Amino acid sequence: MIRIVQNIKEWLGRQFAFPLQWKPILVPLLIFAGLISTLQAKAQASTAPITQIEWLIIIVVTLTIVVAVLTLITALYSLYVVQLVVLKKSPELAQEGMFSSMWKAFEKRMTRAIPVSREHEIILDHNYDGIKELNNHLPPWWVYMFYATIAFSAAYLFLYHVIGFFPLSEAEYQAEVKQAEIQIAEYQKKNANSIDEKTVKIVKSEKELAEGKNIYQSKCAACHGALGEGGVGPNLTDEYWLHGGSINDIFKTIKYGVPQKGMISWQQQLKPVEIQNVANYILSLQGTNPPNAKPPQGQLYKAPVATK
Amino acid sequence: MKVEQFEYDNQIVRKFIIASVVFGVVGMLVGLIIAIQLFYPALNMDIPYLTFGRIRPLHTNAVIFAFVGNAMFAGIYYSMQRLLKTPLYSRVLSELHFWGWQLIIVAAAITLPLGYTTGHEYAELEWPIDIAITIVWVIFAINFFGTILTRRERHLYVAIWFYISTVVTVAVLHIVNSVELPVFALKSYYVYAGVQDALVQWWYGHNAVAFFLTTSYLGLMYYFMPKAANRPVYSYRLSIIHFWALIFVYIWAGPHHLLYTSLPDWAQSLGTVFSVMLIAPSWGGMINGLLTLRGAWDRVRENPVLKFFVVAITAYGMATFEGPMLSLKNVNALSHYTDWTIAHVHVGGLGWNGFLTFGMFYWLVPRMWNTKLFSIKLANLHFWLGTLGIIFYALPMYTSALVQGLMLKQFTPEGFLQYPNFLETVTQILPLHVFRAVGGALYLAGVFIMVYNLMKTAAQGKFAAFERAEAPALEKVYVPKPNEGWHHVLERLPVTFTILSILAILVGSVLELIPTFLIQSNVPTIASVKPYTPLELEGRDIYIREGCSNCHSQMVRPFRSETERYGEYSKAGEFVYDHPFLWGSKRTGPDLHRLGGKYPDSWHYRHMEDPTSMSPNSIMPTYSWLLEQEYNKEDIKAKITAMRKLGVPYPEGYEDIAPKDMEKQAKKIVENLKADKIKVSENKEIVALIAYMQRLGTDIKVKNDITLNQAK
Repeated sequence: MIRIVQNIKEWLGRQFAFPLQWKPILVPLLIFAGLISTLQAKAQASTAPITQIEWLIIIVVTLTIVVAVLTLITALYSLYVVQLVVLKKSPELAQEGMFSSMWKAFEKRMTRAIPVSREHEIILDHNYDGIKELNNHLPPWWVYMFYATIAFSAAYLFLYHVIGFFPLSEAEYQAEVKQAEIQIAEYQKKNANSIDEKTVKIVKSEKELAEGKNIYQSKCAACHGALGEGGVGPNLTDEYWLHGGSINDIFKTIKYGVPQKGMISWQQQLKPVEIQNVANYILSLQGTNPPNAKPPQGQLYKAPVATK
Repeated sequence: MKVEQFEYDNQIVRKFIIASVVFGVVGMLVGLIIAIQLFYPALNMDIPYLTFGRIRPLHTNAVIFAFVGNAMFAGIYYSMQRLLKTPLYSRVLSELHFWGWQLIIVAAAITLPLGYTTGHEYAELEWPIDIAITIVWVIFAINFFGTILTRRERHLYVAIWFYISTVVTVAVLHIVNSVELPVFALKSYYVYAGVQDALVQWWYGHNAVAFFLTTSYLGLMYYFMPKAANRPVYSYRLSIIHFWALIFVYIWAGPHHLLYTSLPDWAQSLGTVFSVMLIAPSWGGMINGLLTLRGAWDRVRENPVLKFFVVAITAYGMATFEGPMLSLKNVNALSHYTDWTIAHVHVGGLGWNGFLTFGMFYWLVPRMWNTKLFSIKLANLHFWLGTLGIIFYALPMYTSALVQGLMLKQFTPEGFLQYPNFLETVTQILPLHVFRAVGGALYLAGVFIMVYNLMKTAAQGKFAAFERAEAPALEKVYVPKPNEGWHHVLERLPVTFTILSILAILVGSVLELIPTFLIQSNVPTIASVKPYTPLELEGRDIYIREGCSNCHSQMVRPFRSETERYGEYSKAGEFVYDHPFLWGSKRTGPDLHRLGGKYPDSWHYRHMEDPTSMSPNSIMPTYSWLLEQEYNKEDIKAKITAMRKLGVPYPEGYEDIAPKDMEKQAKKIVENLKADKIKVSENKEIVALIAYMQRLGTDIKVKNDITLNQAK
């Protein structure tokens, strides 16, 4: 077994003993592979909508990679088998290596490089401070690549700007938003997670208040103080409220914010149930009299006895 | 044919080499400092002159214009004398060129930390220095073309073609990008505004990379590579095609820095396709460089010079492939504003420019000092430290770019941003920034070893300031050989050659810039967008001075992940009074275009005093001096007048009322702050800065009654 592996290794080593100048070209190819995997990572990472174009790209790229890898494996395997057969029949032919000779032919066709040994045929009579110049052909692979990029560019401009097959920035954005709206609506239908300022409830369980406290410490404390004593924002521990002190009002203030006073809207950042928890936590601070409290602002609000 | 005797000037080359090494060390050291500041902000020691926003431009200017610039002049002056078989045109001009350039660098090193900046990336220097750059560049150009015209070699070698493209294009770029209206001795406003200013800046910025860092270095490669390898250049034909293709295509690619911004879509697309078409022309240089080593690969093992060259050219190949990939819209959507761009430029900068420079110095110094390299072992050590340094720099940065880019785009199934607080994504990548600094430190350590090695080499050798040489004079009448190729004809007509290369770079420039300036529909106007109030304008200048745009963009791109995070995406018409534009190119902190009205004044005050008080774990440095320093109310008169000259519709005579308006608006802010128990007087800089930040991005909001937009 080990011998077979070694044989294959040796054989591969022989086949892939490219002239050294090809290696620098392999490196960018690896980077390209990295880029493609990036695209896939992006697809995996976002649970959010992937646009149709992105799907198209992902599918095409994935298929290409899968097919390419399969082809490569098949080709290598069949070549290996052929090689084994050939090896038995005519050892001297095997020495050269069939794949190697095919590769050489391919390389020759793609580079059209005049070998170093025949260099004198193409050396120009230029002599700049001792520097000579050869007059090798333009490498065909390079020329093809140039043509390919030009074709890509023409197609790109045509598809984007002439027939509008791909959307420009603004249309792409609108499509993205629309797609997201549909997905969110579907999600919400499935998961009844729709608390709003009308249905928000007083909760007193330790677990919910603790979650509310967590959110408060990370999101609210900077402006309202760690103990709710106020700072940039108003004191939350007294009975005076600028925008109403009922649970519904507090929920509303947190959800929509009061932009003209600097209270930002949190509905993009907190789930409804989280807003409910933090609003309840804030209510639980009533009458705690923290040190350095900001003087009361706004209207006195007394909670109805039943919910107090 | 009479053989003439003359002398090559080596002492000017020595001067440029020394300057390059010295400023290289300084520039990279500053780079290391700001890299560390990103995870250890206290390193600025609360000194305004050492904050990231001010010394990041110092780093970029130092490494580009001082380290690479001086190395490039050294290489050009050394090689062109020998390629043209003539001394430099004028010793006086050479000296003026050298000392003028160093003076500019010193001026930059003084003014940038002091906060004198135009706000254009890689062109931060203020107008008097811009003029000095123009003068010195013209001196260089006269000396350069003078040398060509007095040559003893009939034909121009490919290295000279690339030098020509550098000399002419950098001049065009610098002049167009520096059209500023001076306000004070060290303060000016760009005549371009908003979208147009952005396009000019990135046309410049991108082609500074192209023609300052690339074509000049390709020229150097074409001289030093065959010299060091002692092999013929692989393909003359390839040189011709890739030279013309490169300079023609390169100039168009600038808008790829502005994908998904308010730049018109057609310009963005041109940026993308010309970047993609740039792969082959760029790789032409790589092929010719690497294949010149055919038959000499064994020598790479022993020769540190060749080692450096091989890695330099490989890095060039990688960066010029990566660039076009980053110009694809869907890749750019993720990569832009993240560390990916930083990684990309450092593969180019550390790999291509750095390593080619080091290889060149290791080759030049022993020759010029008539000795052998002091230690090949140390050079090899430098090589490995540098190579590892590049890898340790780039890999963490690619990782952090992916991590942050993906986090910023991540939504929960409920439709919320998974990481609504930008800071969460920053704290996540800080460990990677530590690795990056380690990579940078390795690279710098290698440079120190080189300095030692080169000094030892120089000490053991004997420097000859002038080197005797001889060559036959050019005959007055040239009889061309039969069937001389058309390009070979061109190579003996330097003036025609130069004109053609100017034309090649003007086509793309004109076709992109002119329509953006002239066609109205490119920047649709928005009626509610009004000029800044005097106080806001003053605040904006403070924002520019502190280099805020080095870390904060002002450009919300049309992605759901950005509009959810920041608000409505940015529109071209919103920037029409922005001289200069402040879109930024990297988000170390969040975008600020929709900052206005988001937080109360007191939040900003406290945040500037100590960012961590409002955003725990923030890596933004403190700006406590803004709370102490006072702005000058009288300055606003000149600023308003200048802005009016640039087309901002302040009424005639408004400059006299402006100080009063300033006071009025400042009073309001002071009152707001007072309500939150903050005492501050009206004329502190923080008040002006708050006014500006509260204005940002508010003009298009329908409800325009937010705190601070009462300007009259």
